[in-house]
Amino acid sequence: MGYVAIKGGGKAIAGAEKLLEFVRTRQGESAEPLDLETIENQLYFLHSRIISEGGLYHPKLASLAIKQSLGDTLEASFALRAYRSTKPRLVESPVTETSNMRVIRRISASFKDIPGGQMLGASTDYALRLMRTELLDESPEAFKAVAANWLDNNSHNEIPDTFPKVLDALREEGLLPPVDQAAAEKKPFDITREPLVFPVPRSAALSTMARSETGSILAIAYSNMRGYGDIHPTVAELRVGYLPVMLPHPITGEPIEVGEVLMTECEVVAMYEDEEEGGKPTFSLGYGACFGHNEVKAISMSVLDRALQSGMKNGPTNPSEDPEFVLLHIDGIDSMGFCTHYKMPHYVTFQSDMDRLRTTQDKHDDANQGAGNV
Amino acid sequence: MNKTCRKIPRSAWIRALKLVPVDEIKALIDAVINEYQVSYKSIPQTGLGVLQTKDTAMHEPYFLGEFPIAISWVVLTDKQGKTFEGAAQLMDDDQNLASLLAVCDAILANDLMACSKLSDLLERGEFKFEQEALTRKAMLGSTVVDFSLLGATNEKENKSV
Repeated sequence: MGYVAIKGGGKAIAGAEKLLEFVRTRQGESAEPLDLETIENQLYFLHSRIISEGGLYHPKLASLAIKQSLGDTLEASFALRAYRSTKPRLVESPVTETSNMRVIRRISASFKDIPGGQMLGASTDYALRLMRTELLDESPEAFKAVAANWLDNNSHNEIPDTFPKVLDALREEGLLPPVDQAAAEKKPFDITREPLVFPVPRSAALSTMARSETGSILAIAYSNMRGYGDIHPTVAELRVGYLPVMLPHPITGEPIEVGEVLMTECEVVAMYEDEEEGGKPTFSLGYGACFGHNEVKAISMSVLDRALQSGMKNGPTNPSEDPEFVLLHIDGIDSMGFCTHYKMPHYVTFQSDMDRLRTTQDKHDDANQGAGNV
Repeated sequence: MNKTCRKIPRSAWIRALKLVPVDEIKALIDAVINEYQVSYKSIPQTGLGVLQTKDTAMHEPYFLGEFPIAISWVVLTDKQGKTFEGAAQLMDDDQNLASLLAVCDAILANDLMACSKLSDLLERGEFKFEQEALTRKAMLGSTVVDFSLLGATNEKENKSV
């Protein structure tokens, strides 16, 4: 493929930038600019997507990215990812136990009664998907009253700070494979520092999926769910909550809470497997997690984690079990970049294509003419 | 040690102070900082941290993603030449805020001037944190699933007449 430098588009590009800014503000005097906190709160799920797909837990900049990209999720994630690429890496957290999560939602599809209980939290699962026409003309007073009334009418001090994991109970019963201590102590693969050269360890797959594009990871996981796979997952536990981030104090070394991240976590229990060395058969497992509140992504990731484990162990039998296929096609910034590059000038390569086609057509015409003369 | 200080453990100082308006902290520090010479043990920095977690299925560590981090480590020297160190790391990209909180850390850890006033701010911040924790618990408490078997409840209530 050949590229050449061209000139003459600078003015048009500047004009396009200004025009985009006009489109963003064209509501004119009747409108208020979006403030960043409004984006974070009222576009909660969109905001969550950008934080996880950008791979950087920066709520303020995620809101800014949404604002400047006019709500384009891929562009917004790209802006956040680009920002992170300009910053130096200063610290690596110690291994943070997600069991310390300050939970705001916790459900299980495996058991109706789980230790600590199921709590639906804020969810669209039971929405009728009918248009809420009362929001068409929502007054600021009515809007503010909803939150105030909810807070007045709900308080539950008896809820514990943390909850046990459903999988821990299953493991105690011997229904799950034992923890591989060697794997549990391995240094994880850092996808921001090393390229994905296959085969890659599972930690690379988990990190890549954690910042993947929601639609892409869903599509490949869906291929597995619909038939190109044999996983039959059951959600053991899906939880959403705030994970405290602890770093050692620079002077004393004691763990200090430096902030918290909203995250979604899912474990699936899948078909059981016979133990190779004559041990007891146990359920197989899949794990998914991401920044923000994004359940579709966490569940899709857990299904693919289970599929990829199978592919890494026995060789892939379908695309969703192939680490190279899955991990190289789920990053939104990568795929969007490649896709949109086709809009860029390809004048030389296309000219070459046309020349070749014309030559081939001429040869075809000559050959046909020759045949006609015989 | 001044007993009004350190009611809250050091592990929670940053989270509590982040919930207090910065202007109030700054005003408090400005009032006492002239009593000390402030220097940096290391250059304040902003950048990224990477969050290492463990998958809860197989217990393997992996990196979930990155977060902004601001770091500052200060040394306060009083008029007698005695030195006191403080440091702060927070999920933010404002190194000035990190330095301000590092000074707070030095004051609180060493019971320096304004320690008790700073401790009051800490308690206010921690109160806000606890209020948020209660809101989150209310989110859970108001949506607890109470399963009951079909037939165990009075189903006549739901039947149409």
